[in-house]
Amino acid sequence: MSSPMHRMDVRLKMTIGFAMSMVAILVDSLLMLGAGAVIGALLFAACRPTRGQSRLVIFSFTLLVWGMIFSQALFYQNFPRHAILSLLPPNVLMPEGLQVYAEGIRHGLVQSLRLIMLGLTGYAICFSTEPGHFLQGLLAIRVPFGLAFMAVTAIRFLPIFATEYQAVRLAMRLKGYRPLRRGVRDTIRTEISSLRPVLLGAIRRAQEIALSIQTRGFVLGAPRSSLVERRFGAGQWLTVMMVALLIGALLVCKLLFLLYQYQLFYVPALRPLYAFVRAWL
Amino acid sequence: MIRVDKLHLQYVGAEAPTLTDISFTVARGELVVICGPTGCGKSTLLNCLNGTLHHESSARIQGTVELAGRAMESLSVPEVCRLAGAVFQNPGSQLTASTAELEVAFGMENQNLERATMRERIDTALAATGLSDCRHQRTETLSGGQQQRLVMACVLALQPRMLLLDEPISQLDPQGAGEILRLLDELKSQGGMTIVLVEHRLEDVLPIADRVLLMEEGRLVATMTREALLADLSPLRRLGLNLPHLPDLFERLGRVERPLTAEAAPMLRVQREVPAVVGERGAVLIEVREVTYGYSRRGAALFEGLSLSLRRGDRVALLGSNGAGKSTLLHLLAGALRPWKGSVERPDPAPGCGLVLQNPDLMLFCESVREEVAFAPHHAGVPAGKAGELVERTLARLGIAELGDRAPFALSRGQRLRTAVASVVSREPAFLLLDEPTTGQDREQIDRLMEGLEAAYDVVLFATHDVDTAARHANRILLLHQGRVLADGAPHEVLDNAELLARAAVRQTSLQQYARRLGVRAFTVEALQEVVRP
Repeated sequence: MSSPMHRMDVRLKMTIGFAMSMVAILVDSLLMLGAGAVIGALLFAACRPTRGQSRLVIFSFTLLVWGMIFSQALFYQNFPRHAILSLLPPNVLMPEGLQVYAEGIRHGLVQSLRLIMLGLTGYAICFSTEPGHFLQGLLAIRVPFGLAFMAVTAIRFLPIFATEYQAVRLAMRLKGYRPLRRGVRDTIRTEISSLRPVLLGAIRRAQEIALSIQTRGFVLGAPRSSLVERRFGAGQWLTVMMVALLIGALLVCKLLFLLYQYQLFYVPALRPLYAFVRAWL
Repeated sequence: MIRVDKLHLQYVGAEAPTLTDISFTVARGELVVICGPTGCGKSTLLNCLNGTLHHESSARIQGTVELAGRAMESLSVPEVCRLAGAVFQNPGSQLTASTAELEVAFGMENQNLERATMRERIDTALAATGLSDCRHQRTETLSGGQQQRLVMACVLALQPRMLLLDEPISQLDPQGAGEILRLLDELKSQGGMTIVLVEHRLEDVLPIADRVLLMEEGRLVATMTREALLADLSPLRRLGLNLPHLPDLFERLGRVERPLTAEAAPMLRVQREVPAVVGERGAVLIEVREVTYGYSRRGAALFEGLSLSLRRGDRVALLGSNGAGKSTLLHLLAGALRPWKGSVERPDPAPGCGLVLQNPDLMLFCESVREEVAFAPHHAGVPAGKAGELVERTLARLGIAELGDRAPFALSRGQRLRTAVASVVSREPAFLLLDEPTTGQDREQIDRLMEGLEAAYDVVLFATHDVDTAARHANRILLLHQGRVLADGAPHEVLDNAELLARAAVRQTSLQQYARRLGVRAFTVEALQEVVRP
């Protein structure tokens, strides 16, 4: 497939992924996190997902947002907090009753937006990058070959493990197994044992791969060349630099604000910056 | 080129040595086949030749292994690779890169070669294996035969002086296997490559072999030229190995000729026509009506309006190339997949049918063989006493009673297959579906398994690439190609039609080709032996 995300250099994708994770950590503003989630959604759309992929993402994030907001709204423990709805009055089942807190909803929304922006960016990178390109990208950023090869090979074989696990489930179903029909203990035992053939298959496959790469001369840590020339264009360098600058600036702003907030370092001339961080970040 | 002297190998913790007193030599440009019953140590011997056991294993190794005059202990891993290229059974587990080009480059990158050299060698290796057009293709989209040829290209790019191959065609359909064997023949005859090949499909490999090493229980019991082996097939018979069909026929007839191909065989006089076995067809048990199904609803359907019926007494062989839809049809028949349109009507009540998957290892998840066989009766709610009887009866029927307390994953491949079959059979299904039950099995094991099942079930349907097994054990052949039934009839109707078989990438055995030349409809050695005059 050829989409803007597919065409993007994997190192640039990794930079974007890193930048988004930094933003998710550093920013608390609902508006900015919302903007981050929109960027994540745009990146996801840019990799032209299939209908199945889109459905998977929408379904999983809807569940996540609902679960996060609902649980935070009910069990928010910080103060101040304001109940906006009472589900159970005090001393009914619980001493405090069950209230929905406005601050809890906000907190749940902030956490959800963090996860959405990171999740969508991660999905976009995974859906648009072949394992081989990942390997080249990791090598280009000086990850040792042995480590990068292991990580990428593990990713490459994940769909095979998923297919094999489906086959095991099918075999169990065809032999008459239905979860919980023979009691909880039996079910737990059977569910655990269903992993055995997949794990044994993984070990067998790992041995075969090891044998294959060893007989093609692979020695961990030995010097090796590369067929692929890892060129990084000026435009891509510029983008990486800009992203790095932005993240650096964000980090410095946030750090200065925290020093001011905890009364460790204050410079009157930086008051506009403190105000900016309070309002937007 | 290769010298092995008094080789002895014992794994740590093993009670007995895996290899005992093995000595042989292989000359430059020779193609030597190593064969023997499952578990006799063939692959271990090959792994001694490719250096992996010397360099990475804690096994105790005594004796000498020399490649091109150099002792294995004195060679580093990259040096062994430059001398001997290794190809294994499963191509899918040997490919690690995303495209064919990157895959071929992998070994050369390990040797720290210049980019220009790598490009040049990639061109040559892909051309030699007929994969030039697939250079930028993703490795997982290649067919099984193409993947195995790609593995060969990876090895050839390293310019080794010898090739060591461990059952490279066992998982391929006849077309894929033919591609690999043609390539090996070219490498030997044109490039003077030394080749050592572990394989039990002797019918396929003997035409290109110079010598055969026979192994039994870790020992080398015979080393003979191809001609010497063909002159006396008794060692192969004794070990229960797959015999080459035409030499087997001519030996049974007491003739001195040992042809390997139909064209090379002298014409024998036919005494009478083989009587066509047309059994009475029983009642319909399974009815497939106008079924439409595909892998993805966004793509084209694999089956469109497929209709067929399976009757009591049917022993059906489902033939077709990789990707023809054999496994999918079995899954539809078993109810594991639901058709998009149409219906599959099965007998009531449950359990109806039993399906043995292509990879029997994925059907084994219990701690012992007995537990495995007891799984289905337990989940069907069969009372403990009756279930116990059923389990013991099933273990005995499949010939694995003595393995009851062993862990399934510690068994040999043949034993694992029989355990998987037993775990399905113990559910007492009305009919049985088997997906490639012959892969990696000796003739004797296949015959024993199939004969036992044929006697016990109303309908047995098995998918296979093995035309010989189809001829021996089926009374009906379904020929599948790209989701369409090309032919459905008695073996003498379908297997006699070489053109139709070729369309489905299925190849007649040399015996079937010869019978066709004689104008007889005989598909097994026994059948042809009865109608020709010695």
